[in-house]
Amino acid sequence: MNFSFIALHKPLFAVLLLINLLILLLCFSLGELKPTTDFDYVDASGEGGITLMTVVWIFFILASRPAGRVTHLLFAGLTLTHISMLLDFLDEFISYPETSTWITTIESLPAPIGMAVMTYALYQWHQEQNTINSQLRRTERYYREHSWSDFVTGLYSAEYMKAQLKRELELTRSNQTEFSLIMLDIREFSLFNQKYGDQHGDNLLREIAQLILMNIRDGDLACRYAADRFIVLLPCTTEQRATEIANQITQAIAHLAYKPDRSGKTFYPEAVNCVNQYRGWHQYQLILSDLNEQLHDIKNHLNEQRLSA
Amino acid sequence: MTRYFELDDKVINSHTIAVPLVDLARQRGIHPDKLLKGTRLFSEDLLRGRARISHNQLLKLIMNAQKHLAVSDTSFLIGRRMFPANLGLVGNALMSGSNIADMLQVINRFQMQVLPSMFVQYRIFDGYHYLYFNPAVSIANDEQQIFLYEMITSAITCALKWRLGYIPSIAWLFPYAEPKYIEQYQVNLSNHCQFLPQAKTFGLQLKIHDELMHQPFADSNPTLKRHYLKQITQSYRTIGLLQHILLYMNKHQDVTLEQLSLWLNVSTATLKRKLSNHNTSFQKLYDLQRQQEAIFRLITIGHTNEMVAHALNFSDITNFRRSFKRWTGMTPNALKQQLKA
Repeated sequence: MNFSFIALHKPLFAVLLLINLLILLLCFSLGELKPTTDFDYVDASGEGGITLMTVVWIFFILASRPAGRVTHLLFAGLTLTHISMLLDFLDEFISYPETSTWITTIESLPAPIGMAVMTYALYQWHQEQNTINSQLRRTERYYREHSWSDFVTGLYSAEYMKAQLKRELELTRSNQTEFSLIMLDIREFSLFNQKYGDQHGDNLLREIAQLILMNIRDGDLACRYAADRFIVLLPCTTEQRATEIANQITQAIAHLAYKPDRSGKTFYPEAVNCVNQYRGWHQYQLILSDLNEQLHDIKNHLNEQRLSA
Repeated sequence: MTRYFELDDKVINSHTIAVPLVDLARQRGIHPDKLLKGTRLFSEDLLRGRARISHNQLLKLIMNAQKHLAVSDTSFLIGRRMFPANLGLVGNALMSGSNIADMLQVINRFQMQVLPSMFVQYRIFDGYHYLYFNPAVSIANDEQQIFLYEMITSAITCALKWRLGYIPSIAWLFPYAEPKYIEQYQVNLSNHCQFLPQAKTFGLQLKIHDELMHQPFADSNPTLKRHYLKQITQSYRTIGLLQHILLYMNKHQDVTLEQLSLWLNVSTATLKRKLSNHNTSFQKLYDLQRQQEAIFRLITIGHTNEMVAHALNFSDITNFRRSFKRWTGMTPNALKQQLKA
């Protein structure tokens, strides 16, 4: 697990700790401990469990989110709920004198306020997620699976494309439409890696991924296939239209002037593409291996031309 | 002076695989300590570059990398980065070798510097060379063995591309089932890949045409090659325990456990214990050689069952078929059919 966000939230954790201590102090100063024979352990363990859970929830919220308004709202809502739960839990062990029974009357008050705050916070979270989703368009379709993400490019990996391809094949078969696939490969990428190092190799791949995304339409899906090879799925698209888009991507990549450092050195990447149209008659494994072989042939052909020139 | 090394002997250099693995993990945001957990290695020692590690530590490191990196391209990336930079002087020598056969000779001679974990055996038939990559030190777990296979195929592909200017047509046969991440094989190897899960101990096979094997490279330089090789100090040639035994078994077809322990100058009990430490047994190693021979004759040469049984000194065909089924889980004919399909 990655807890790098935790460090950002030290003040919030301090607040949580302080609130817990204050409540313990308040309760023990107002009331006194019941004799152990009066403890209702079943009730106590149930309420204790809920109290503990609210702390775990707070922890995971803070561990997974950067600081900001929505995070603060979520924290406030959960903490208020937590206060009610804690008071309820302490009730099981502490009896209050007549003068202090007010605490049992108000103990359930923070919870509804907290829940209202939480509800508002969740609505805000939804809005925030919408913004993030719109940033994810062209890299994701209908389904989310974070373990299929590619660390280097931020696109999804081949595994995700395979799942989408399977789905698209079924759709195409039943709707009698067609779809196209573009496969792209960066030429001389291994040479670039040897020359400038692997970190720059990763950076270049990331920038090319962005270029591909900029040149496809909403509803299309781009994934990193493997190494320096990318694949784009274009639903309801003929080969002719897909070829236009593929060439536009290739042109965009050819105009990328990658600068590995500040010295003024520039690298112009060059991409090879391969486009095919499908109607859903084949298996996805066959489609992919076939597309790879075609691309390999094209690259070999270009290499031969270069060697003989 | 021992001529072979064992699982826990610290004789393997760290800059070919171990250091690049730690570097890659760091590049992917994983702390070196996570990768080194349980290996008893420290990142300072590794980064100083001259650290020697044991085969066992290497396998553990690979296991950690598979767990924490959890991506299918790690082995291929390490393989790609191996040649020529991570191979030091041998890498330089390989860069000036005159053809593939010449490069293989260098690799064989300086195996310790390049690839202590695996060794190559050759068979030639009908204009093709068949290279077998077998485990040289111990039988690793499937995942780590696959990692090593993927790494070596990727390194070879990269070296060929580098020297020839293109990826030539060769054929790989992997002794395991087709993995889910077949795309890595398609892109990184760009060549015909076949998977044969029945022949688990068959080793990785590379089929390469004789012409390609001796096709001269444009940028070879024998003087430079000699110059680099002279600088390598190699006091004595040492190889992994399994390699040591398998090479001997290859020469002495029907060796017994007693004869082998006599040759190794240890008691049979010690030898048995050693082999079990290396995750294998005398019978398994004995079978391994015969299995490779049988499959090669059956599939590649196209011998009949009778001919293979005779060549391997089986008393009759039934006996051969039974042994073959024990090795692969299939009868010879069934395997033939499967490979044709």
